[in-house]
Amino acid sequence: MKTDPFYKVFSTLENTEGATDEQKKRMLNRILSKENSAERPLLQRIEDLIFNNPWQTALSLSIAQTVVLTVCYGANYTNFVLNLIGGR
Amino acid sequence: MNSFIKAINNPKEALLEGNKTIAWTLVLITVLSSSLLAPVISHYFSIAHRTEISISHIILVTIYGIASYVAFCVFMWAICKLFGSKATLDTYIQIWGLTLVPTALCALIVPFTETFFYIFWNNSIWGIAMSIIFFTILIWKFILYVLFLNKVCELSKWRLLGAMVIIGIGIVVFACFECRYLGILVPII
Repeated sequence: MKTDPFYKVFSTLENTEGATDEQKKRMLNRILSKENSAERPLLQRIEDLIFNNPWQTALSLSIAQTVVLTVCYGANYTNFVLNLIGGR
Repeated sequence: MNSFIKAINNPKEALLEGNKTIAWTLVLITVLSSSLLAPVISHYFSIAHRTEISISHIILVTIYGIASYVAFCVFMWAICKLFGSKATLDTYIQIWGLTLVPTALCALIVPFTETFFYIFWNNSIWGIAMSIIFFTILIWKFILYVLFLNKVCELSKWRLLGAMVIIGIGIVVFACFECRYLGILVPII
């Protein structure tokens, strides 16, 4: 029965209904990460947040510091930054 | 493409996966924008410092760039080994490239800010935008740097801190050396 070519063809149809390995892995990860986040200390949760959203973290910190320093020093500050990356 | 987006959004997984092609593509983008893009833009658009395009110079700087990337990996490997990491030299050369996403971005932007300096200078909107972009790149790189030491080199706590400080000093020395003597605009680190 199992060597029958028709059995092989139709058994693939059955397989598509279940979750693929990739999807199963993703589901497991989601469950595990939820389990962890409830028990982990605050410092580690912050660490996870930063490592999982690297450029988003960088962008928000960068916007915050740019706004603060521009308000304090104005064009002096922006020209200083341009000096750094322009190299003149 | 999928791995590339992973290197941007989920570096933790990307570093553990270690896609060699993406890593070296990023290294090449960074190197070529210093060696090829910068002289071309400067030649056609610069007002104050127009330079001639020289093929030999382009090839030389490309070789310097790739060599300095490998040299930096060797340096990192040596320091991390000192602090008890078990990762092999191969791993550094293949995987460190994945943290070059912000470096490559910076390397693509700097030739423009150098040549079109007169547009940006004293312009508050451009100044604020450039400041946001530049510091995002800096902080992003730092996050990836710590992540790399933590996940790939498997250093933690004081070992991580020690390696971070010593390699950090190395980065400053490397950056100054590359910019001053090798003609590389953005250090390949």
